Amino acid sequence: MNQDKILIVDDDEAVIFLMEHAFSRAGYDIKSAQNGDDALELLKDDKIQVMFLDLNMPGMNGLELCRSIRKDMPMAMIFAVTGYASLFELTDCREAGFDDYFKKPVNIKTLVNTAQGAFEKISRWKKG
Amino acid sequence: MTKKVSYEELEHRVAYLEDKIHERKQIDEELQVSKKKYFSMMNAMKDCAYICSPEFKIEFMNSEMGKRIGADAIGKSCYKAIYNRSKKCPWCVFDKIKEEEYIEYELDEPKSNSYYSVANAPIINSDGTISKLTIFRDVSNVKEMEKQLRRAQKMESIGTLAGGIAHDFNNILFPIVGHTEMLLEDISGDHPFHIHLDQIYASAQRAKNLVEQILTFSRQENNELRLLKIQPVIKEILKFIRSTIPTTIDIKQNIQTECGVIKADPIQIHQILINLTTNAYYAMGDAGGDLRVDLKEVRLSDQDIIGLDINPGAFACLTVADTGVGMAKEVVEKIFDPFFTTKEKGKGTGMGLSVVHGIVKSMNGDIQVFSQPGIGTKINVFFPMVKSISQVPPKKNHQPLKGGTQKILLIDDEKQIINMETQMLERLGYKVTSFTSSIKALETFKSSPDKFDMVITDMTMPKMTGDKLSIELRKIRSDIPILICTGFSETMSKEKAAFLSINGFLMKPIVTKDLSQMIRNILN
Repeated sequence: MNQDKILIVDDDEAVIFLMEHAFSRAGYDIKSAQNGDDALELLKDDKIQVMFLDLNMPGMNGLELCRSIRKDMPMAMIFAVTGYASLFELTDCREAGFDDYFKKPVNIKTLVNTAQGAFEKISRWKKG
Repeated sequence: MTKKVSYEELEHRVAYLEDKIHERKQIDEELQVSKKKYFSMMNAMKDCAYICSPEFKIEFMNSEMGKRIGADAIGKSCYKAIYNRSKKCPWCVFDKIKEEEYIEYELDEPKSNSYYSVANAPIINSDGTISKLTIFRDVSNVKEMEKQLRRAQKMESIGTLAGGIAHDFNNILFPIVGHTEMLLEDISGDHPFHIHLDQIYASAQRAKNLVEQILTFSRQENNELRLLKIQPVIKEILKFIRSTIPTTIDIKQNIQTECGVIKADPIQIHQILINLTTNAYYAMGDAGGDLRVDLKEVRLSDQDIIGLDINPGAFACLTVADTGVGMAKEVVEKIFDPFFTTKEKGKGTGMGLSVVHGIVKSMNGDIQVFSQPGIGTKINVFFPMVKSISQVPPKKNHQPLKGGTQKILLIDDEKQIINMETQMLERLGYKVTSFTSSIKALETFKSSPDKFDMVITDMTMPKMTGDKLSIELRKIRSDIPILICTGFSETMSKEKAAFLSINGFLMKPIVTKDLSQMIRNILN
């Protein structure tokens, strides 16, 4: 079992609970935050490289959070997971620095595969 | 004893009398002029008007009123002649009129699908009695516009509400889908829970699709519109439909290759056509029938757009028609309402046509529905043209329309269509007599068959359809030219027209250019 770490940021507890379960049963270690400030705080101590961010959150939204993370962590793999696709366009997400974009309800398998792919990419970059 | 009068006195008196007679004559003449003016004023009115006495006897009615009730009813009781009642109408406002009040109310006449604003005013007679002047103003068009506005507002508010809910709904659905997915992976296929989890998963997927549709309807999903020739998109979708619906349904297509460019998103065209054709298939069922899909470029004038929320101009008209069960008027009125469905529970979301409506409106187009129970349904979708084929030879558009002065008998059961076609024909110079009832039209024709030079009739009408009417008309006068206008090509093919020896037929929506050309072809 690998112990690659994933950060989940979502203001909805039920979504965090679901994603924690989904990723931990796939063998990942999970950290979570319910808002952007907590997430940034968490990343100060723990440079987690793969993360799934909600977009529509009170306070700092997902786009702002992503921009802020990107500044310090250009190699991180950051994914958007949103319930309201039209509020945040794919182009805005790419511009903010997201690697990919998923609409809720997204299949767990898709998320797990995405995480797996992300970790593979990071390890390839490290080797290179 | 008679008093002797001197000659001078007599002369004086005669002169006086002559003066008086002259004065009287002048007053009479003035009275005649005034009466004439008053009559011509009342008769020039397009509104129906009548005056009745306190005893409910009609004292005067204008020519429009006479036309409406089919007879001059002066001297008759108003309740009998106008409303066909045996005593005073329950809504009669005469009591208030007698107190010199002015009363206005609205009257709904379901038979002709018309609304009237009825104004009642007191007229004080020289003997002190009070008569009542009543004027009926046809406000059907205003009512129709109000209805459209209400519908638009309703759609907009539902759209806003739906867009807001959709976001939370997706968040709620995500754990349902996710946990079910994990459970399904964790338990073996033969576990008794498996079947229940499958059901939860499938239902959640259905809910997800519904939210997607709601979002499309509420136009919150921004779609990229680009210049597009939609012919290849339509052909591709038709291929797909052919493979999914039973072969008992015959798909006929007439896709005009020259039809110009519109601003659209191919995915949305896909949604529109799939929704419309699925409904058409559902209306015909496994028993089968004809599904027709046409695309043609049309140029709509001021008269063509009556009842539509679009500006005159060039449009790509996408038509989907079926020979299915059809719909009653009450159903047609509701088909674009979100969550309205005629399908059995669980089979339809009631979002299909709302989505189509949402998309078409966002493209500044509009939709027109013709349906007749037992015959079928035809839906025209108008997309504004960006580059029109008719822009290429611009001179053609300015060709004067050919008119005439002949007398035309016009029949259609829809009052709005009658109004529109009458306007078209009158602008072309024709004299029009119109009826919303084929039976009444036939009676009029029977009494004076030589009064008309041509008949233009709708095909699908209650009691007597256009083809049956044509046969009856020909029995009375075998050489009367007949033009049939139809919303359903299935019931009127070229072959059938030839069989009935009808001189021509036009497909709705009718445009002035085609109508004028067709009439000239027939009458020449």
